[in-house]
Amino acid sequence: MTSRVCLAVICLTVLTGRLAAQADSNRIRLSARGTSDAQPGILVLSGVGLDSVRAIIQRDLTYSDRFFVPPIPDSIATLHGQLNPTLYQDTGAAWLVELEPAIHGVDVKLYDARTGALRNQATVAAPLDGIKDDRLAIHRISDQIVGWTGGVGIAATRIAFVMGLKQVWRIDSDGANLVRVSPADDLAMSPAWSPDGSLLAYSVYRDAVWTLYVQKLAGGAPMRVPNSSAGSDYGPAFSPDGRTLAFAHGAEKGSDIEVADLVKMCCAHRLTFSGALADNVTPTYSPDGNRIAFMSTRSGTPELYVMDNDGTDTHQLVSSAFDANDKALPSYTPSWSPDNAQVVFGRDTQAGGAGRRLFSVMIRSGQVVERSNSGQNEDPSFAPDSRHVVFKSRRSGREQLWILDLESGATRQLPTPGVAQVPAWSRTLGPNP
Amino acid sequence: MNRRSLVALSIAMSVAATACHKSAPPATQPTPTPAPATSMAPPPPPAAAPSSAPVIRSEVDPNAAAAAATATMNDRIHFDYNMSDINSADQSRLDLKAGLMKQFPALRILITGNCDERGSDEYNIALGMRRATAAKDYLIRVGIDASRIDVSSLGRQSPIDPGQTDAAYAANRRDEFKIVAGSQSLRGR
Repeated sequence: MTSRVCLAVICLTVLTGRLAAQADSNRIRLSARGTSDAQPGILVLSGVGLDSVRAIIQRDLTYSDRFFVPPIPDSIATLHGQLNPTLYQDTGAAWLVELEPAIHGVDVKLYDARTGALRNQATVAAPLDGIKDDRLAIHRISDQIVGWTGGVGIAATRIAFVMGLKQVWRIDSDGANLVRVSPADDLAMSPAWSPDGSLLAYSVYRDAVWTLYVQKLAGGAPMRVPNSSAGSDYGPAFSPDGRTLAFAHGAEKGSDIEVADLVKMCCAHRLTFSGALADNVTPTYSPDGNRIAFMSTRSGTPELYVMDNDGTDTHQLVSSAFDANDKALPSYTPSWSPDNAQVVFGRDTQAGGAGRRLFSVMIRSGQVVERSNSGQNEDPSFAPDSRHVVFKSRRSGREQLWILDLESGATRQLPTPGVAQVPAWSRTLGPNP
Repeated sequence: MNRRSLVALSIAMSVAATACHKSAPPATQPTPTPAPATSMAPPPPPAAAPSSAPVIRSEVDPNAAAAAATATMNDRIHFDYNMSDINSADQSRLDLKAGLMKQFPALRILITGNCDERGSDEYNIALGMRRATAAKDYLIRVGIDASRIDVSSLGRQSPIDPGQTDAAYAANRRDEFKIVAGSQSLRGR
């Protein structure tokens, strides 16, 4: 029996046996069937008044793809008094989370469910209503729990994207809190987050030119990003230190990768010089900031290249691919993982723009691994945990955002009311993003 | 309006009657010929020689003539997938635009390249720019001053047909042409 089924049995058993078990102080015997073979089970229990907080955290832990979170009825998950962790030793769960109200926040405790031992605890400042931006504080509790178990949480993050082919919007990682970011009256494209999550760069189409802006999400007028000459700028990427913005600068004779100094708002200059013959777009920085991967048509086909951050030492990042008739298969939209293990990108598997799948090129080995096998998929963007990517796919019939766990292969949709494209996943957002 | 202008407008009207696309406002289309949905549109007939188009001032409505000329200027051109080469039919369309731009030196235009939804969305902005520039380069080669032509790209952000058929893709792979200055001169003012 899998751990999931086992834990489901546990829940039912708890439901029927809880009161009697607690009454005579005996340990609850819950059909223990061994440990998880894939994901450890985690039970989230909370004091009175924290039901909505618990629900958000349960969903976050599910979306982390690191745990099995059994559905527990409120009557079981709501604690009336101090938790006795030893009662859950035989549940088959690996972890036990206790949430209790604290002054201006939540007391969070993580127990090893098998031994009942307290592993970590913290008091996290968080509002208890969990609405709008306040939800991020609750997501940070989820990320704290994931961190205690040895992982990197992705709950306190947001995804920026273009909706309806028009404006830039952002949405919380769990699909809540959809907010428009770019002006309502202009077309906007290609959002990118600053590393600290305080800025969003995006391009606005005005007077027949795409112009890059950097906008403080806390408020204030967007700041125009300088470029080297007249032309359109789009597809930005922040350097990991947040001081430089790389982007595509397109003029009449093609597109090159440029960088601009965001601290002094100056000094834009080109890194590539093949624009007259080729297009160079969609830069993505390596996590140390030393290298930039990008797409170029310099071979005649869209292919991925990598160069130093000063434009030198350019070479092909991924070997060219061809179909059975020797027609070149284009590669697009690289996204470099925060742990430097891989670059994920979209590649056609059939000539003529069909069968676009996500692939990874592993940095160390150069091995290319297919990551998705259905729908037209492109524009991947890495989450902070280096194992989840958000991407655009038509697998549901129209262009929507989907999230893929590269380790388990699990996918989930991030539903949006309009067609969605060019998603960008933020780093973990601090208290004042 | 002098006779030379009237003749030119007459040419534009006759050409627009056979070659205009659905980009032209319906009220100004001399004939409601639907646009072909692919880039393989048949070439328009060659422009009539000026001598074969006798025009009497009283027979030409300046507004209708200007509308026909505008339709010719607005006529779209189309591209193959992931390409920016201009096919022979569209070269003829560009020749007609060049003729009007030579006739009316005040005309300035904006060419906006567009793409179908395939290919990455940001690469499509670059590809659209290449398509717009291809048309501009052609017009320069046939004698139009570069300063009269601006180029831009909307990538795949402004589809004519939101469908996922080959016909929709073909319709969306296009250059749009817009007169940005000098349109009054088409009315002889």
